[in-house]
Amino acid sequence: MLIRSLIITLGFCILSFLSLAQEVYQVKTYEVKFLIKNAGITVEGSLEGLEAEVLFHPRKLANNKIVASIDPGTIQTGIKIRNNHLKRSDYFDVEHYPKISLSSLGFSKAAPDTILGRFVLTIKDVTREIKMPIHYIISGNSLRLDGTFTIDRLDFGLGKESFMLADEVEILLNASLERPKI
Amino acid sequence: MNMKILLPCVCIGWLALLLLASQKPEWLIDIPKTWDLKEIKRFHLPPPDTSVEVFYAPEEYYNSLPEHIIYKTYPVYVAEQEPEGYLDSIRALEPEVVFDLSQIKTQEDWIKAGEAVFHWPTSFSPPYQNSTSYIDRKETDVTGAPVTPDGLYPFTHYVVKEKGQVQIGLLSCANCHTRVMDDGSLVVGGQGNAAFDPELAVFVKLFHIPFSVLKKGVYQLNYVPWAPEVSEYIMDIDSADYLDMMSAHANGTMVRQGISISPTEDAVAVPSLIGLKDIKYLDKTGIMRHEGPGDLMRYAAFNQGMDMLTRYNDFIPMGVHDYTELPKPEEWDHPFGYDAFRYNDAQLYALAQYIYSLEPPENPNHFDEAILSRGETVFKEQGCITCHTPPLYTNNQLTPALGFEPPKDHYEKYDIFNVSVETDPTLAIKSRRGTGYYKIPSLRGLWYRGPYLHSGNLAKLEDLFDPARLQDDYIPTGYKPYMVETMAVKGHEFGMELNEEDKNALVAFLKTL
Repeated sequence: MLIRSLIITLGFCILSFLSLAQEVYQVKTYEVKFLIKNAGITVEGSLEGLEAEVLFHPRKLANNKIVASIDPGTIQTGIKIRNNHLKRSDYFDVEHYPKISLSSLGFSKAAPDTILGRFVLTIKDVTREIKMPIHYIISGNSLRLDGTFTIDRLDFGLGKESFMLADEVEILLNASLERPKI
Repeated sequence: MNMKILLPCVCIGWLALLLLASQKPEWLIDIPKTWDLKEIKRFHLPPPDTSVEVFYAPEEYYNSLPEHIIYKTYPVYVAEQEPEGYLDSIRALEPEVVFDLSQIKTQEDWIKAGEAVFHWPTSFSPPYQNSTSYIDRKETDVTGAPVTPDGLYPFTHYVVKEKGQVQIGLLSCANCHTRVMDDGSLVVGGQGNAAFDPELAVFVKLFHIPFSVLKKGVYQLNYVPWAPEVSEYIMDIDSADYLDMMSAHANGTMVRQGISISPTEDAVAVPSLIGLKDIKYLDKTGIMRHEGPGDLMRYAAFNQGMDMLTRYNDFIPMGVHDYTELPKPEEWDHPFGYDAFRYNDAQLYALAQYIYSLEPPENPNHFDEAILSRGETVFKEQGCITCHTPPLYTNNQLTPALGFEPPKDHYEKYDIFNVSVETDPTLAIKSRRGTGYYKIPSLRGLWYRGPYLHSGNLAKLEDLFDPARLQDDYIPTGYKPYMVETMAVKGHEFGMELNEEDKNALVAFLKTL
């Protein structure tokens, strides 16, 4: 009886492990972009250096997990001196804060092929909760995620109030991921 | 007198006095005190080397200097176009004092009086005996000094302080801040384009001025206690170097007291004063704050002699006894020749009012609206607008020079745009005018200014957007240090990748500001 129970429990564990293992994805390509209005002109920028841990299943939302970070020292806006400025203490202060991090708190269904994620976003020494709808496409072992959210840069101590530079920054994320073959 | 009559009379009298007090006549103004050490410490930014202590001349010393008496000045013509008998006609005139505080009643009076101060020289030649001008076309052709079509040489003036004696007056504000445009018109208060340094080189050769005299002047003007390499460089300069150096200074640039001398920089671009009222920091390095006429008055006092009496640790540029003690007025030995006089506070206040009143000339540039619209868009897209923000076309901030990290307390004290545009840091770091910063300049009036950048290396706006300037084989189109054949004009790398159409549109837009 004991042996039978043990086998059943072990079987569940293996199955459960396999099902979890199937949800782990690795990022193959990605884009982290942001848009902000400066003097009425939309400036597009990008960031690199993504490190991410992704567990995803469209029907097992409780198990989903996204933990990611990006390097603000890689910021590009098309103008070298502006990039340098954004790395300094009045913006990202990359010397003291070399990572921007995003960590999921939970997910819920939002629409067909779209889930709504709750995350904590940490920029410099400020952590705020944000919500991000994420559109997904699964094709075999491949997963494509697209998410967009908006922050107020002043909440994170990114510059000061300005009549030239908007407070609102739109952040656009996309990633192509693959599930490792077992 | 009956109290019934007296009381209303007293009340009416008091009411009248109160009314008068509340409607202060515009000529009755509170003139700021120029040499106020507390204010001077507030307005003066510290050197980039925080170990250097700065002390200013004491108030008693400043007040002991005799005040300028400001007389009428007379224009200088080149000899070929001087009206016949002109100098003799001036000699025959009675001296005429033109700054008289008792005659100033309105704001217009202050401005007019300030104009006289602006043109008043602070150094004078011995009585000039000749019957024709001291300057002629042959000399201006050699030095490149511009002259108006009617022969006016607007950078110096004649003065008559004593009937029968004409003196050539030098070192007025107008000397450096008067520009002759290509069409011959004058822009008073603009970025001056006299050729003083090449002229000095001509005079040195002509009158065989001993180099020992000049070398002392270089030391006084340019020695920097916290930059030993600059001192070494200064000590190595010989007579030929000096003449080459001065001759190389393009019109619109010059040697100035307190700037540095290095293999890459030995001149500074002259600033335009037009629109200065709205500018928060003065000088290329923002060395002095500008929060009102009092600060501009202090700036003028410093730059017309007093800054050579500031002590940096143990070094006073115009000091006696091995540069350690303040000179008595009769011991003043300013390399530019400033006499030991000071403006009084009313004169300086008037000067500030005049400078604030300066208006730009009418802009002759007219471009197609579509080009200007595109130019304005490029101006925004390239991020120019962030620092050169309308309507002043500056954000009135200071940007750290390459290699300078602002101390933490500076972020509270000053207006800092916290990134370097990576131009040559010599002036900001290794000069007595250095603060560690460069002021973000206003772009208003670019069309009547030039050469551009803080040391005037680029003659035209188009050159600023030419990527070739970043290469070591570039020949600067404006001021080029005498020691180099070619040099990269680095920094401020904006708009370098624009296509020709956008570049032209941007330049067109800039020429309308």
